[in-house]
Amino acid sequence: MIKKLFFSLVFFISFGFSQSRISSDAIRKVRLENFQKNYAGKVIRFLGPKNIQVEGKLLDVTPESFILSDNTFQKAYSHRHINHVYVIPNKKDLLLACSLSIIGGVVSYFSLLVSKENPKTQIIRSVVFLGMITGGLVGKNTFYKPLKIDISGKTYG
Amino acid sequence: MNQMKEKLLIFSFSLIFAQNGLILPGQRNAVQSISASMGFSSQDLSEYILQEYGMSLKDLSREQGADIIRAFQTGSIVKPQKIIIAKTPKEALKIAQILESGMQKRFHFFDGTIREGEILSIENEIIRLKTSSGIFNIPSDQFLEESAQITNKNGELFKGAVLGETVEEFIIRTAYGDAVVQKRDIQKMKRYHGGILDRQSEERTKFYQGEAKLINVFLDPTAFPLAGNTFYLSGLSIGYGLTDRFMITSKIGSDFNNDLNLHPRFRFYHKKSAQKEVAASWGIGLHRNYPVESILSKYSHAIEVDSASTTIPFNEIKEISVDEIKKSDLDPRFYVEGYVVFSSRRVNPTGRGKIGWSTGFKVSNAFNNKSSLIKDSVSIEDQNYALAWSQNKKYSIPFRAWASLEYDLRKDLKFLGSAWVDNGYRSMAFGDLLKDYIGDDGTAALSLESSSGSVSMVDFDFGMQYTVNENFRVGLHFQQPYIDFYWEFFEF
Repeated sequence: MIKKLFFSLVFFISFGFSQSRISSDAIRKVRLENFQKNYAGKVIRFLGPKNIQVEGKLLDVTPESFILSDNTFQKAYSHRHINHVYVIPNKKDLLLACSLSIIGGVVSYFSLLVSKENPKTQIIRSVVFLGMITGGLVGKNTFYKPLKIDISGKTYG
Repeated sequence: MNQMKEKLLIFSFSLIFAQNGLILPGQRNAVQSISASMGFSSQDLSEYILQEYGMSLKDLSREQGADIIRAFQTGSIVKPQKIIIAKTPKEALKIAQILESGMQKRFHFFDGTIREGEILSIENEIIRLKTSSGIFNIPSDQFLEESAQITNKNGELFKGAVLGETVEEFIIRTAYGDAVVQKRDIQKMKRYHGGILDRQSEERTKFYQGEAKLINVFLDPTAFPLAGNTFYLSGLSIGYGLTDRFMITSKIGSDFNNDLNLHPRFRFYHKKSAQKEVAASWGIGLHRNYPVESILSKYSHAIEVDSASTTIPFNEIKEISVDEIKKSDLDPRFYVEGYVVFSSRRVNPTGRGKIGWSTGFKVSNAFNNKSSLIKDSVSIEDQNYALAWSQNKKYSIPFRAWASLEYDLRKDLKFLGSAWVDNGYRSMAFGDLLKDYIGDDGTAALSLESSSGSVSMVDFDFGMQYTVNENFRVGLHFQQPYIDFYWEFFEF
């Protein structure tokens, strides 16, 4: 019986070791360092323990935690079980999205002028409005979108 | 004048042909004779070149040809008995050393087949691979090693087996440890399967990005400037990337005609992840002595010629030249144009390079005090014609708005498309354009400013651009200027 148990144990342990992966800790460490280097000073958001959403300005990344600031206090949040972090767009990104909307309106106006002689005011307003909406949507999708960053130790896609 | 044109043509052609093309016949003969004298058979030589460059001798570039000759002469290529492998070439392929459960990627096999899937388990050297076509049990010695050679934008070079690839990084096992290379930092990358450069797979199946990073689509700028310390030369302009976010170009034709000009471009916004890169830039164009003729030519369709209550746009009248309608005492003027452009590039979900778009809006001061540029009337065959700028609202300011698209078809081939609204645009036939470019129509050479062509304020264009080598690109499309070619010299 003991022999059987021993062989079973050896079998399971060897099976377990044969599946060993590349050290995920090393890869996670590199990713965290890159994350700190690329996004320090940006507002980030992640899903913390008990599904609590945490958002704040990233000040630093330690091997154990993120140091976040809410403009008043600094607090450390453990990133042990966090695999993805979102970098939240800021005012500059919003400004870019808005300027694309304005350009959309201007371009629509000029397109109408060159394609139609003396268009009615109502048509001008509609076309400009549509151009602004289109430009705004393109701008929002391009510039004002959270960026998902992988900080897990997962090696394979 | 004719001599001048001939010289210009010879200069342009010699510039085109001076680029690094295919290996010269003389170089090929030299490689063959030197290698034979060192004991290489033609098969040995073919195998060696295939292994080192992933192509045959006739497909090598001149530079590569020169490298091989130099290597033979310096003795750095080993004699065939050292590189001849008694086995067939297939047996010489490297077998994957690292295979682990959970690996999820495209696997290349010894028999030349390829499967994309995930390793479920490894037992007794048999690998259970799950693909979308089923589950396969494959001996581990059938998996080819996948290795890569990556140069990042800091100039660091990594070589080693590819352990994994995620949306953000490549994980490479180098001789000195595992490296996580962020895709956003990749400058150049070569992939090897079984130790041999897989050009087919690299260039046609999956690649991270195309070789050319466009700063213009046809004549419209993108928000991505030249990389820092890069020199740029095209048929119309020269330029230099001073930093990664600031570049300057200058139009050669205008410079040689006493109209010194600078076109700085500044990228004021930039975000880059492995999947996506977005940027916004502004640019201005400053011309010290911009010829009034150029403004009148560009907007000739906005000048109305009135006779007997019939109004005809100036560009439709062949009998009168721009010089005849221009006020005689006018000096060239200071010209400025400004634009803002937004661009986005993202990884193509198919895995073949990237897809990008740009959109921008440009205005200039060409219509400043425009009524002072033309005479009130002009007479032809004793008949007087009144001249005036059109009062139509569409000519209130000179503008151009554009949206362009770039799509990597292959690593060295891009599809380009562009649509625009431009109140100064006229579509021209290739013959007229060539006359304009070489200055045969009375305008400055090496620039495009003809008054001919049909008005086409809303229009589009598409074409292809081919990367001939690391420095030279050539493109073909269906509107002016029809042919694009330029050189980029990195770390210049």
